[in-house]
Amino acid sequence: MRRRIPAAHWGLLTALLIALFVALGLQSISQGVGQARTATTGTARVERVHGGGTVLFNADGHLDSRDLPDRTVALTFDDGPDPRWTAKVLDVLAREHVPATFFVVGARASQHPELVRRELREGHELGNHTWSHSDLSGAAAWRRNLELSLGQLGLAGSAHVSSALLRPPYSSTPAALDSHQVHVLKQETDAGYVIVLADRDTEDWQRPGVPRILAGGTPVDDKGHIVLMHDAGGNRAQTVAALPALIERYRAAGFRFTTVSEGLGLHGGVNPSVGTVRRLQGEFLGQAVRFSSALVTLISWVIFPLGLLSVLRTLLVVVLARRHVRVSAQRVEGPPWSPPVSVLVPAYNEAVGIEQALRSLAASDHPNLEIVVIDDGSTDGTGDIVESLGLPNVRLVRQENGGKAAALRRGTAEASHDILVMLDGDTVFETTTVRLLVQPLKDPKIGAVSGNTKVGNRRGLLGRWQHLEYVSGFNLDRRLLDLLRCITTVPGACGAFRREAVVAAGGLSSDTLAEDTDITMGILRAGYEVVHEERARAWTEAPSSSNDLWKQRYRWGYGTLQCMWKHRHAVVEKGPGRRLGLVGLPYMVFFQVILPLAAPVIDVFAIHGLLSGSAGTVALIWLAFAGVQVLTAGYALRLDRESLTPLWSLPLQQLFYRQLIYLVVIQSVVSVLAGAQLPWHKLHRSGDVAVPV
Amino acid sequence: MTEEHTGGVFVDLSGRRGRLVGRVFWLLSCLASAYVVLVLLSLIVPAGLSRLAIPGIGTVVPGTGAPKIPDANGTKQTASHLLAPTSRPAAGPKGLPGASPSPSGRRTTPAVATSPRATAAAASPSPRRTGPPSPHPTAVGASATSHPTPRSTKAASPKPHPTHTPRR
Repeated sequence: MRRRIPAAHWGLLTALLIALFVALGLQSISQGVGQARTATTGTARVERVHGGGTVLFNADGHLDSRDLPDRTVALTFDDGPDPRWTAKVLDVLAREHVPATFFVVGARASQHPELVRRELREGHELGNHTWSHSDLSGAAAWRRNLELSLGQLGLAGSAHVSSALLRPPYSSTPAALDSHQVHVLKQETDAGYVIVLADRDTEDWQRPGVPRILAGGTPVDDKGHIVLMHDAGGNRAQTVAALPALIERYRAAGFRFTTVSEGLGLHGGVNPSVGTVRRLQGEFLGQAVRFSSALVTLISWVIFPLGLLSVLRTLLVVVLARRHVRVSAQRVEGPPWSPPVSVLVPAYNEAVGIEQALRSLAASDHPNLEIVVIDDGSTDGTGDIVESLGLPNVRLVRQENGGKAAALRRGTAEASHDILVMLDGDTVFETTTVRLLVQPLKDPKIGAVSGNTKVGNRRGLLGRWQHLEYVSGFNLDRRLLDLLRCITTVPGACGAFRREAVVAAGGLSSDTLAEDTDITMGILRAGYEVVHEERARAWTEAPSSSNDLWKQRYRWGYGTLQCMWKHRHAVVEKGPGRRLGLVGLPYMVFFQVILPLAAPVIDVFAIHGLLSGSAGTVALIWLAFAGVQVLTAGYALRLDRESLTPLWSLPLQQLFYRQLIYLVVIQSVVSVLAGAQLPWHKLHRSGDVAVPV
Repeated sequence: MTEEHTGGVFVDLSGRRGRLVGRVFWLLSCLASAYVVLVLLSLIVPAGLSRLAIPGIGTVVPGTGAPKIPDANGTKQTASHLLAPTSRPAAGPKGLPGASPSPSGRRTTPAVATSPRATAAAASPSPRRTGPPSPHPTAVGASATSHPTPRSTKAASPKPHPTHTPRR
């Protein structure tokens, strides 16, 4: 019974991609932390809060304010915790026996909960400074609510407390408020927050030097003061250095140090414990933030080298392609070689295209040609059509259906000559194809020759995309691998083989669904060379529907994985197979497996970038890659003397074709893991192969 | 046994590997889905806060339309009853040095990228948080108007070292 693969992998892929998107989103809303700056009035008029005090609250529906009592000072620190600076600030405060109020950023609290707990443990109090240091006065209402809510969760998760104290980021003194800011503050007090501004702004975030920090924080009169400083968001060495002297100045002036709540005379505690649900919610959010950050970092570390390899490969194929033209020409210099050739045509239900294929072979300019058609149990009269053609030198062999490899084995056994050319039943050869294909085999070291397979049905986007893929993907790759002496696939649609090399490789096997890759790897391991002759062109019918394309690439992908596994020992072989093991197989693993598997991740990053305000950057990167792709494909088309017209469709490949290809690779990998047994998946044929004159 | 008899490279004719792989995939899918749901819930479900009682002002009450907050005896009091005359510092603008606005323009663009749209808070058109977001509003109200909470927040309880005494 044929085993199907489980469908669970699509659910898993969807869940993983959504989880990645959520992780990216979580990281996005946690970014921008620590960009300290004090507020400035905008173009709106300055508005004075009733009382003009530094602590704002809602009093019977109105915004009211209060100051700390005379000769009372509350030191406040914003933007923390920071593993480098907060600890130093806490050390100074502990040494000086001074309490303070820390307005923590939720995202930072989630990342460094131990510092938040230390702040509480050492007698300080905590306030909310939003989740990501967002400018609340410039944010939409939903964003403000989210920032305040997540800020509370940051406290809940790190220290299991909440806080009704709020210091909006980028705030400063009451006199610096404009009407819009006052309006926003009113809404926050309506929600129950006590807004804590400052009247002594050290502006330490600017790192103006210790003297200026001291000047900005020093008491100017006997009234109560709230001093604004920062323990994170940059290099706070000056803050740490200025702190002892600042404390000394206040002591000298007769001030007592308090927390904000103590200064206001609150005895209920501004940091009450939160319930279990809130605590768990906060802890989970903290874990999720840390996990998201680690995940994004890990993925970036993986994607970057892959991107680098892709760029390197592109450079190599472009630079070396021209060299390959010279090398392949030198390979066939000298008088033409015309050995007797057996052309093997395995055919299963190829009634639509077999006539055109055979007539093209019969028109070949290579002398001494025999054509063996192996009818692999066709049910559409393919064999009858072959017989009815009555073409000279064409011999029909019928057998029960056993697959392409079985048909080729039969054909090899029936062939009369030692040079074998293999093609598909829908492939059309040019008159020179056979002759050009066999020339390299003059060298007895060469065991197989890959021809230049072209897409003969290029109408429609799908046809154009496949045409471009064959020219700039497959054939450019083959040129590079030829120079590296490890071509891993002689295409089944157009290849020439030395019979003894086929025998040395173990013959064509039904072990895999990619018998062409299998035999090529076997020939390499048997010690023969495999080369590429780009002038030997063959025109094949590519799938014209997405469904057929999926089936074809699924078989190719699965078969390629089977071949890589079957020939995995080449990695450790010391003989001629070493090249395959050290170059060919890793090349296939990176560019035909790992890169496609990583492609959905790149798409998620791109979509997130588009939605999170980085659309310009994403567009720029996309344009750059599209540009490189177009230039490379244009170069490949020129090498093959093809028209550049189809290039217009290349950027569009990113939007559907690329996704189909990488999904099919994922399907192939899952099939391998699950041990599924795939059928051959016969494609629909239209016979619509046009050979240019 | 050759690969042909086993069905080809990788093929497991018994189906055991396929079933195992399927179960593992479903499990991983559930874990990933749970992560997504929990993160979204953390973002969507608002975290509340405990209201504070400011001496002379009473409980910091929300705006009009909000529920009344009971005192320690359980009787509900109006906001005006809670309010008491405050002893304020001298009236008038503060005019403190250093309070003048900086000449540089205000940042209009938040430093952080906008968060994903898929938050329920985005659906709320009201800029004001009117409901009591805390899971225990009465408990909060009670604690805010009555005795200090027993939790040992150091800000509320006297610290072992003398912080109130000026050094000189």
